[in-house]
Amino acid sequence: MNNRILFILSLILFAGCGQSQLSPEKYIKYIEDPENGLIQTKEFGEYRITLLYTPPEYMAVKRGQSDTDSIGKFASDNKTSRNFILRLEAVPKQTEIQELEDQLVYFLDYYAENSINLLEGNVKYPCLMFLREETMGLAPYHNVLLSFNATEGIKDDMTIEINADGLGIGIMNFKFKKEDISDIPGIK
Amino acid sequence: MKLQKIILFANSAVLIALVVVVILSMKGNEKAGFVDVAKLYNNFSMTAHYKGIIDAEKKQVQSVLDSLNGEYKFLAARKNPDEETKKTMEDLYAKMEKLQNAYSKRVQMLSEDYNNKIVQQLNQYVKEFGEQNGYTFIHGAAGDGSLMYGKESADITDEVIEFANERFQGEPLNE
Repeated sequence: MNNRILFILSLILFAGCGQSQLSPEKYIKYIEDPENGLIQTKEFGEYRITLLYTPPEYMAVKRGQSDTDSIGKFASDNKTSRNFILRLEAVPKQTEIQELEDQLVYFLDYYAENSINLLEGNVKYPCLMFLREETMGLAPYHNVLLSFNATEGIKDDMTIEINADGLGIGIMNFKFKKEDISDIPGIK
Repeated sequence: MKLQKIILFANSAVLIALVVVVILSMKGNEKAGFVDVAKLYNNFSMTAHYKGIIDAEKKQVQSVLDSLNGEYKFLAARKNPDEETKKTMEDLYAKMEKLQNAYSKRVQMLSEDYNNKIVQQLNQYVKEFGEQNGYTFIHGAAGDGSLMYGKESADITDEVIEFANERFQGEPLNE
C-alpha cells in the first residue's frame, strides 16, 4: 500500500518537474500567453497599449541562444535589469487613423521616454533605455523596448507607470505580480 | 387522421410555449445595475491624483499671491504715500490681478483636461467590469433624472469603485 502511494507521489512530482522546464519555443509561448499574467493590455479611447515583461531568458532566446548554459549565463549577467516591450497602436473609431498616428509619433518622439517609470516596492526606477523598433511605417503599431536597472533580483510586484497625457489618456499603471514572475518555468 | 391533426396541433402548441418560456427566461436573466456617478468619480484614485496636482499648484500660486498681498498691505499702511509708493502699489495690484486671472484660466483648462482623462478611463473600467461580471446594462445615476429609481440591491457603485481603483493601480484583468 505504502509503495503504491510513493509511486503515485513520485509520478506527480515527476510530472511537476517536467512542466517547470520548457523548450525555448514553448518558453516564448508561455511568456506571450496572456493567461500567465506577463502581458497586459489596456484600451482607452482610440489607443491600445500593451506591455510585455521580457525576462532575461526570453531575451536570450530571442537573440538566438539555444543552449541552456549560454541562456543561464545571460540571465545571471542581467538579473538586475527589468525589460519590457511596450506596444502602442491606434484603434480608430471616430478619428482618422493618420491623425491618431501623428499624435502617437509626437508622443513617442517628445514625451514618452521621460514619462515611464518602474515602481518596485517603494523604489521608483526611471527608464534607462527607450529603444524604438524601426518598422518604416509598415507595421500598424509601434514597439518600444524599455529597460530599467534595479539593484537586485525581483522581490516585489513590478508596476510600470506611464504618463500618457500626450495621448489624452493620463496616468496608466500595469502591474506584474511577483507570483507570476516566480511561476515562470525554466528552459531545457 | 383526426387524431394525427390533434397530435400535430398539440406538438406545435408545446413548441410555441417552449419558445415563449425560453425567450421570457432569457429576458429575466438580463443582469442590470446602477452606479452613483458622482460617488464613483470622487472615489476614483485618478481623481485624487489629479486633484493633488491642482492643489499643489494652487498652494504655490497662493504663496506668491500672499507675499505680493503682504507687500501691498505694507505700502498701503503708510499715512502719506509719495508718488513712487502709489506707482509701486498700482503695479503690485496689477501683478496680483494678472496672476489670479492667469491661474484661474489654467485651473479651468487643467480641470477640463483631467476630467476628460478621468471619464475616459472610468468608461473603460465600467465596461470591463460589466463584461467580466456578465452585466447587460449598467445605468448611471447622475442625479439629473436619467435614472429615477433603482433598488438598493442593484446599486453596484462600491463594487465598481473597487474594480476601477484596482485597474487604475495596474491590476491585471481576470479574463
